Amino acid sequence: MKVLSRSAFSLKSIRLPSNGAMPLSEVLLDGAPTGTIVDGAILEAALAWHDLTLAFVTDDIAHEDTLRVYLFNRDVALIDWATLGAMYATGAFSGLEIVAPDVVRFRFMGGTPWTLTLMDRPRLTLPFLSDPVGVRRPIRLSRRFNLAGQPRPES
Amino acid sequence: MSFTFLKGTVMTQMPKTDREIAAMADGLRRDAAAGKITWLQAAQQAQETRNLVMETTRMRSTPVARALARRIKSEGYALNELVARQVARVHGERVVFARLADFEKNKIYASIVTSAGKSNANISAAMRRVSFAGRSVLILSLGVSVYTIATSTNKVEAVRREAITTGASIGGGIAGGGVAGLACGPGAPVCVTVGAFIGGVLAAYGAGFCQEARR
Repeated sequence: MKVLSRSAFSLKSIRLPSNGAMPLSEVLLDGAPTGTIVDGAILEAALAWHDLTLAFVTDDIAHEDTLRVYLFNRDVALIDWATLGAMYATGAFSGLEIVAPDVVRFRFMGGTPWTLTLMDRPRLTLPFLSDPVGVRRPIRLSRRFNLAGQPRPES
Repeated sequence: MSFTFLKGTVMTQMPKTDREIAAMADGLRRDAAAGKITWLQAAQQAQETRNLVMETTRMRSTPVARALARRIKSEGYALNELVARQVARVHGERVVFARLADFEKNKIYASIVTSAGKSNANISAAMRRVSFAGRSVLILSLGVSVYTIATSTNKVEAVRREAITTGASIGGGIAGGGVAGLACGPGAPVCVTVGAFIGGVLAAYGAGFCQEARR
């Protein structure tokens, strides 16, 4: 796994966040539009793993931010995603580190390091039951990455 | 019979918060543009007020909403971190804030004030739905009470009975949620919801039972 430069993988704003709408952005590869539109405004980091791209995107809503984790295939089609966020809570993306060829660690909210493990192939999973507090995922029976952490409640 | 005990379970105060936050940011922008305060002071006040508004919103909310809000610990950016991020976005990763011209620094502070005025549209929409559900339950409850009173032969007694039952169910819901919150600790919305529900039901039935026993 390696970190992609801002010129290799970036986002172009389609809609800025406002009190009535969430932000939207288009994925750019080497500065060229791909037609892939995602929720979010700020690309915090992008990493390449085999022929897949993992992107961490936030909404640019400083006091109620959400982290969006996207996994794209080589055609920049979204193959899996997760969000990390909660009502009346915010997060600050930091401390991204590659701890193994298929594992990255970062901080966002919950007073815990979050560990993301990429999988070679889709793994069977139970929607709603398999994720820590704060993590939302599409309702599917398979996933391509696992997001683990031990978030603490607000004291 | 009343459904009002549910009202205490789901009601929140969120819709007002968006307006308060936007008004706060607008006011600070106006004051800074008019020279009443510096842009640095505006950014500092925006940051402090935003956190205060959020905490106030939590305090005004029902036990269930408070528990939901406390499920996960927040980790926001400090003002200097927001400044650094904004400088990197506008001027590039290698530019140092201290070396910017005053008008460029003010632009950075102004963008932080603007940012503090934003709220999460998804969360606001969810809160409106929850609030609508709360109001719907209240209207249903009032409808049942009106029907009970209208079909009663002793209307004065029916009004008294419905008022006591409804009041008890709201109070019981809030108290039950509060007790459950203390018992389960912070950030336990399921526990608080169950507590509020049980508190509301017990209080409503308890009040009804006491009235029957007095007769």
